[in-house]
Amino acid sequence: MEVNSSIVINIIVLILQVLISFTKYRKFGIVLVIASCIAFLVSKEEVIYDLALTQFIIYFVLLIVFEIKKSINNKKKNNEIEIMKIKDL
Amino acid sequence: MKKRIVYCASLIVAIILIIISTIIVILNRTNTKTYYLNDNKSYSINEYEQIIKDINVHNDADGLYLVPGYVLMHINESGEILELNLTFVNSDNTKWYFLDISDNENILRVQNNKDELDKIISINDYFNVCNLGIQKFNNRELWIDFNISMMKIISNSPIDFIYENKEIAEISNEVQGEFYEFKFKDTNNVLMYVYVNNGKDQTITENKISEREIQINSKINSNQYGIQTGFAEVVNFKS
Repeated sequence: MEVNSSIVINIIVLILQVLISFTKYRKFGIVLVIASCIAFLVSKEEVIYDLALTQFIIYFVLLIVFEIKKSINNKKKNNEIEIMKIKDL
Repeated sequence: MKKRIVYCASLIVAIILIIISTIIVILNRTNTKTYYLNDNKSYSINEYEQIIKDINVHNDADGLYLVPGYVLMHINESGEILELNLTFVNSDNTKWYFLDISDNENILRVQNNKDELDKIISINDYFNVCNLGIQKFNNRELWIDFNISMMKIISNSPIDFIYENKEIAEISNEVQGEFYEFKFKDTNNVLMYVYVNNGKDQTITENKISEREIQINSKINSNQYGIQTGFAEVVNFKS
């Protein structure tokens, strides 16, 4: 199978997008999405549009997942604190 | 707080950009018709006209190019087309389509024949591929717009072939009677010969082309003198 260079670039960018989402700088992932959008608007290549859309979806899905996780953790913490408070009393 | 504002602004920008891009893509897709030329499928003349028309339109979008070295046209003295063979290649040079129209059957045959493909590659180790469009295919008349300045060569290492630049090797006037002869050179020093009628009636002759030569008999508008502005009326290639 012939490997197209644009496919390789797309995969690298997507991996980068996912990796950024797992670091504490995950909010900067939006910069990559904006960059891809601008690249599409300049080049009008549909491949870049597909990439930008995929990045956008990955970014938002992971963002939502992490926010849900965060809120669950916070809830757990609050519950523990409340239990501790009750025990202290 | 400031950070949050910047983040929200970038989110909004990203969403707006995605929406704009989606609109552009949707508009592009609705404006483009795609034909999948299947093996051994026959088309009526009307379908053929439409295909050719659309090929001209979406040359840039889909990258389906007419290969001039393999345009074969048999025309009788009154200008009737007896036989027409067109060869198209896709942009990544992997698929070839052979379109044949014969005098007896008003049908178009599209082939994607592996043997033919091998033969072509061995004959031409470089490909002159032009953005050609057929303006009308009406009552067995064929007109081909031939924009020489848009000429491309598809090969493993693409070669620029630009008329308007200093790539022209030689321009000589009034060669072969009413024809003007233009010679081009590509970066491999391959000569290409173009004969242009000086605005009078077109003369169609069958020219033999060798492996590295192409002769194009064409006519340009008398008020649009010059290849870069004029379009050739009919191109006649014979391999």
